[in-house]
Amino acid sequence: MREATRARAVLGVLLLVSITLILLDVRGSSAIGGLRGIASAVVGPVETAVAAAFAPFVSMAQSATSFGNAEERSAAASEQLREVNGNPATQSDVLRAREELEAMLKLAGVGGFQVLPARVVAYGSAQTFNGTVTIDAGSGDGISADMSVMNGQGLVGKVIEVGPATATVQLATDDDSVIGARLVSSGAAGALEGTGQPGESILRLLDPTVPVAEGDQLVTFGSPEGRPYVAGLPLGTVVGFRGEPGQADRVALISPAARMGALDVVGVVVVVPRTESRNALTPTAPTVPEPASWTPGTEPTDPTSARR
Amino acid sequence: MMRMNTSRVLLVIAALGTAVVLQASLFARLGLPGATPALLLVVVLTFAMSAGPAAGAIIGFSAGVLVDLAPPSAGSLGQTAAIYAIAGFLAGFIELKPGRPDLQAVATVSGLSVGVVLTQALLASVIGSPEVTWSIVPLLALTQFLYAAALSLLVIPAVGMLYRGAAEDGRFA
Repeated sequence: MREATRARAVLGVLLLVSITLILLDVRGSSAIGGLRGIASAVVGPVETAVAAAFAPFVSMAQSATSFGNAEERSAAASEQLREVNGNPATQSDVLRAREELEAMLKLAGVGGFQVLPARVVAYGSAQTFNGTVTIDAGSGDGISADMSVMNGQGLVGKVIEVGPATATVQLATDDDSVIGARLVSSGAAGALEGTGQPGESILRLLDPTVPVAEGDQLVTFGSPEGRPYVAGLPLGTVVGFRGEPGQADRVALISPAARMGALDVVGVVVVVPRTESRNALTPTAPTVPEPASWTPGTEPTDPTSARR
Repeated sequence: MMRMNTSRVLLVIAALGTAVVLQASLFARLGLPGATPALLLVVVLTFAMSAGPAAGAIIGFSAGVLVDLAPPSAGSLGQTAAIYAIAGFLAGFIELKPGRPDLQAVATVSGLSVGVVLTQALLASVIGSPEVTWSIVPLLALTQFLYAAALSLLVIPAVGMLYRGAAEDGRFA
């Protein structure tokens, strides 16, 4: 059958081209970087427009599966918006976006970060295990690669690609993502690794013998100058364990702080406070405690009791 | 095999462009359980069943390049292109009959969509992170089977009709 033979030849050529492209991309070809730049300049604004057109619909669909406080909205805000726009679906979307913006600004205020608000306009497909999203702000807004992205719940990820009006964010749950993390309870350091699933990441502690309990909170360790990750943002909660206690392959399963499956308003950390308090200190000389006043056994809890 | 002409090429480009944006900015944001409905792949497979294995492979490759380049670009350029080219090539051996989508066409689309999900999971675990949780793959495959079947019921009549219509006024047919 001649047609089948011809088709096989065509497929063979295309597969060879694909393999060549993969190799070029892995080696960091600038030509492919240029192609990506053109694609994000052309497709990015279209994604922004499509996302805006379907925003009320998407917002309703996300609310249907969310645990959010959709009912706890202030009557004053609803009234204000009813004057602006009569469409209840649009109202609900605008209200939700405002709540998310307020929560994000509040959390950014805690760290003293200057943030640039943006909205998620496109998601990568779940079946590729790449947790990436497009946001509607780009180099024209002052965004550059390796900036942290957060929302009101915690760290979302980091900027990996920037187009003129859009940027691509690698989520903390991407299967290539590794983030320095710190346990709030003990201060122990570890690495949070994405699994490609929005609801589950894993934590590898540098010292696997550190006691960890379910419910322990995790925050970002922070990178120098806050890039790619700023310090102190909530990352997630320990929800379980895999492997034997004390073994090197023991990992904690983490439920991410930010709900990665339904992101909307995010903030790109544009400016990190240059230094924390780095003034020279002159401590007062410690007073030596009287031997009689020292009472042993008053430590709050035995650390081994929390070990699992 | 039906021959391509200028109007058909334009139709394919327009359909692939629309599908890639709708998939990323609408379907993937809905937060549906399991996989993201693979609208683009369903469109590719429908064209392939209309145009034969050689054109199917080329259309699949082009769609894959589009996915690999368009934001939020993920993975290496060429990865999705190779998988979609094979899927388009295989679908091309099934001939799409005019009229209502028949069981054979829907089964081809659903089956190949599941095959693509499994291939992507395998590739992710080989060249991506070893942390890919295989326990989630059955859910991805099952949901994609259902989403692809549902989408094909809409896409096959619409795209099939446009594709045949594009032949009649095409001067290079």
